[in-house]
Amino acid sequence: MSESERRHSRRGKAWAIVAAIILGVAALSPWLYPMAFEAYTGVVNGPLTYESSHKVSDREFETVAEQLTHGARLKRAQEVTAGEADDFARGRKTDMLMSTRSFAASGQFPHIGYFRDAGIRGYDGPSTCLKCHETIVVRDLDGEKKIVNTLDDVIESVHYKFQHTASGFTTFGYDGREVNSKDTRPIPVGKIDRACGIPGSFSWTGWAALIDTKPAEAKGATVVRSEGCGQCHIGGGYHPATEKMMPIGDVPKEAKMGVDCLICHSQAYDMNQRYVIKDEAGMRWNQDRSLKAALAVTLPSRDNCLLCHQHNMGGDAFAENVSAKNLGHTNQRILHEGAKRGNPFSASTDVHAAAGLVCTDCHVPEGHKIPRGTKGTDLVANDLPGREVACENCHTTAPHSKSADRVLLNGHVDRIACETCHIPHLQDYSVVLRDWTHPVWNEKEGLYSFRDVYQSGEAGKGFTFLWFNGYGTFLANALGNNPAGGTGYNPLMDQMVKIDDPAAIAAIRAQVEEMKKQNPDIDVDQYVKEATNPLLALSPEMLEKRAKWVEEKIRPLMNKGKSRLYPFKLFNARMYEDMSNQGPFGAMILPFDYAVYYETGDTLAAMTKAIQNPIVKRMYELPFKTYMMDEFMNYFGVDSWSNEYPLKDGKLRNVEAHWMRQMGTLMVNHGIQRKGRTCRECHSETGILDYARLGYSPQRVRELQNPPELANRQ
Amino acid sequence: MTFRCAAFGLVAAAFVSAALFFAGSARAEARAEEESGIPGGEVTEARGELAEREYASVNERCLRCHGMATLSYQDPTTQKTVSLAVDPEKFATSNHARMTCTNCHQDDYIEYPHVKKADRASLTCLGCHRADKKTSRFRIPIFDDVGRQFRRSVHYKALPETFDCFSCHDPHVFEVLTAEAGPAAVVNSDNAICLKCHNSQPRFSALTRHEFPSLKQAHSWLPSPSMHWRSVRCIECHTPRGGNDINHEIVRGEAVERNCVACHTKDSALLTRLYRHRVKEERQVSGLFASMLNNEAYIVGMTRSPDVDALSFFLIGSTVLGLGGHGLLRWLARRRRRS
Repeated sequence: MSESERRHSRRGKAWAIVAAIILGVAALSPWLYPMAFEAYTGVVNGPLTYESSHKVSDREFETVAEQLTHGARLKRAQEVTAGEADDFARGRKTDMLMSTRSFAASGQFPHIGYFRDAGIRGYDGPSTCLKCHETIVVRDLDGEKKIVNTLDDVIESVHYKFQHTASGFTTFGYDGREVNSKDTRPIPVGKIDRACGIPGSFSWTGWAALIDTKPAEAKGATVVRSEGCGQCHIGGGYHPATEKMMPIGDVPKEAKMGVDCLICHSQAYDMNQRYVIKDEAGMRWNQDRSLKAALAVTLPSRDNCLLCHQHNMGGDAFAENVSAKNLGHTNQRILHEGAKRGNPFSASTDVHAAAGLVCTDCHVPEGHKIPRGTKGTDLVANDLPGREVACENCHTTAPHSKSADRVLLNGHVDRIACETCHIPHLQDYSVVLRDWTHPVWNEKEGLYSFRDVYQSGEAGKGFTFLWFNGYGTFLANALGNNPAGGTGYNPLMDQMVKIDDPAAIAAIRAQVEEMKKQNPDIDVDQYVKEATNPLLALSPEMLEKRAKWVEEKIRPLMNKGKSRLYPFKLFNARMYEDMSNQGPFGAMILPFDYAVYYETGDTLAAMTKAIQNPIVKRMYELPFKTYMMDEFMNYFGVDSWSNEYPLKDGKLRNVEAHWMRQMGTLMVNHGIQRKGRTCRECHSETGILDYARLGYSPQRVRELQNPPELANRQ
Repeated sequence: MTFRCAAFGLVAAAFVSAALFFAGSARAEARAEEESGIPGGEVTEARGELAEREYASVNERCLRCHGMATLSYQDPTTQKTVSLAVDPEKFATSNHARMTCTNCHQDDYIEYPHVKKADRASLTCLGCHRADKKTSRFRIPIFDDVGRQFRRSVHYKALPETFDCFSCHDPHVFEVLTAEAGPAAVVNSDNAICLKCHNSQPRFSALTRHEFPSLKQAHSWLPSPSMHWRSVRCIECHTPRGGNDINHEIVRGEAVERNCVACHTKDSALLTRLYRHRVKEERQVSGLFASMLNNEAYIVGMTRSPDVDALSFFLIGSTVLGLGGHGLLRWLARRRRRS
């Protein structure tokens, strides 16, 4: 063999080794990548088992089926006879109905028969469902049919992954760019990482926690309670669908088998099964996988949606919140004070619920994708962007038909959203200002809780009216402008920033004085000033930059499309912020560790613990900075993500407690009343609409406050 | 149908004189408002007083409500949504912009709620626009012809009770496009009036029980119908030849001219209508000869395409130049050889 031949064969060998390594890595990557991902981010996965899932004998099966059918039938019979005042007569009537042949034959659960015939004697999560429902037929709006893989359909839905990397957001960054639009580098955004806290931070650090509480009733004994974001999510794992945040890789199969199909599909789901459990891998949320729940499967009813969604409408304090009455067989869930929106959807508080409408009548699903409408102020991902969910779909633009003023009322539809008149008030306990940095000891529950500095459900206090064109900013501020144009309406410097209602200020001051008893270092005047005008936290240069950006980058977005006046629930929170990442519209909020927070009330310790979560730390490193954080901060109104980690040598740096620089404005669309507001509630000098601040000219303000048509009326 | 060339002058004259009249009184009213310091919108009582004082602001006041785009109600008997809205922007550019609402709608409507219900039947175009000076408030002689033509039209014959001027022309929007807008805009705006019903089954069926005719099918005999629709008005074919150019005698498809050469000829029938002014303009700009040789008026030019015209001129020119140059060079070469 010549020298050159030898060199040749050596080179060939080297190439073969490289090729073998590449092929090997490629072949192993389905195993290697998840391992590398888990090692880097610290998220864990593991096999998910549930105590409520077990096989039964044929006899037990029939007993469960009979109980279920009887129970459901009795409930219906009692609904029919509920009007009878006399207890004895009501009982007799119910009995008669129960033994009526046609009534007894109705309302069966079809899955009892399916399970019986297929020999299914236990429920094991998605694998049981997928036996028959591996694919489903999905119809789009045009009636076009499509067959999709059921599991993929669920996994790719917002209800599972709470994020989208695709476009379709109604949200714009403060830099004027539409989130994930053509001119951006798409990043994963949605509820998983929406900008309350470092992207994803709360959903990781607060996914599932067990809290040792010392309630007064227990007389010194410890009672374990459950808390965390995971309680409302259909994924059953140890963390949200973190894998979906990355450009490659997928949620592991074992995590997919944790999907809780029944919470949406069972009419007998037991919310008492929803509590935190701890195993070798970590903490996660238990679910109801009983045979009884599985046999009661139907298409989702209103009750299914409300198991979770009543929490952010009516709130836990709402008397008819079913979940809040079924806190768990053990490790009971902690109830939250105050309501995010305070507009419950229930027969007693909403005309559509009273009429028997179900959620999916308006939010018409396409398979497991459910539309949230074409308008939105927040960064929550939407499964079906562009799909309308609107009053006008049913009510047309001429909805009033009885009133003598029907023509004029219909005329208002062009400028005023239905909700503005037909949601007269929210629940009194709707929270406007929440201070996380001065927790309060809750004697009854035996834990430290955040403090609601101000709650109100009144127009002009708990909620206000703003021009809205369907778009929102990165931090949930409604965009829109007076259709007459101009710069007179400037909510980011006015309505969303200042609380100037004297009654509201007085209530806030009273609460702060109460707080001072527990926190003597509070300067009441200063605190009230900052809470009612969070722009005080900005330096003059920042403030100037903010005003400039509002006119240059936000104003064009406000002038987009067609604006109408909508009601918006106001919300602000005082939290710790990473001041290295501050811009004119706010700084990055830091998360809390729930166990430390609720047990000790030591807010700094709770925050310090949370930011040491491995994935939160990774966010401060180059890969995540380059992959998503820089882009995220651009939307936020900050030039780039500073990866100066707020904890150095055990000491916090550049961390301050502040109110967000403007209140968030949350859409309220439920809690609709048949009777709308009267003319004078808006058209008077003391009306709920502040026409001048809404950008009307002085002459038009006078006219709107006192229209000639109302001259001879009350 | 709308007014065309011949009517432009007349209509404009009528409106200008009306406008001058009202502008005068409007100015006087505006002065009165300034002096009293009371903006028109705030006058609440005494409709008589308002009508006397405040002409300019009557419209403003009506449009406070009627300018709401969704001012409407659902008719309990027909189930249809009836709009009472007037688009203020469109009204401002309409030919009736200088009128006050109460010129047509009597002042019973000034108070809210209105005492008298709107009575559409008492309002017609000819109620104001006639040739007769005594009975006509805003005289436009051609309207007498229009009235006669309309009574001969297929629309009136089929629906004498329900079809009126306002079925096609909304007086609050109605705007005669001037010649400067160009044929394309005129064609588009005029055809839109026809298409409002003839391209919408619901609107068509609302008027008549006749079967909704498919535009495509009815015009299937016509080569490239969509190009025709873009370039000529429906009424060029659907009115008898020879009438004025705002002929309102709409005829059915069966009675329509189907002879291509009637239009596609140097002596096109279209030249007396839509494209007449174009020919005139052309002659002024480029002279009689050039305009005959190469006028841009659609289909009556030499090639229909100015690009092809330019190309052929270029080719002919190059050939002439080439041949001439070649001859010249040969002649020069021969002279040199001789000398």
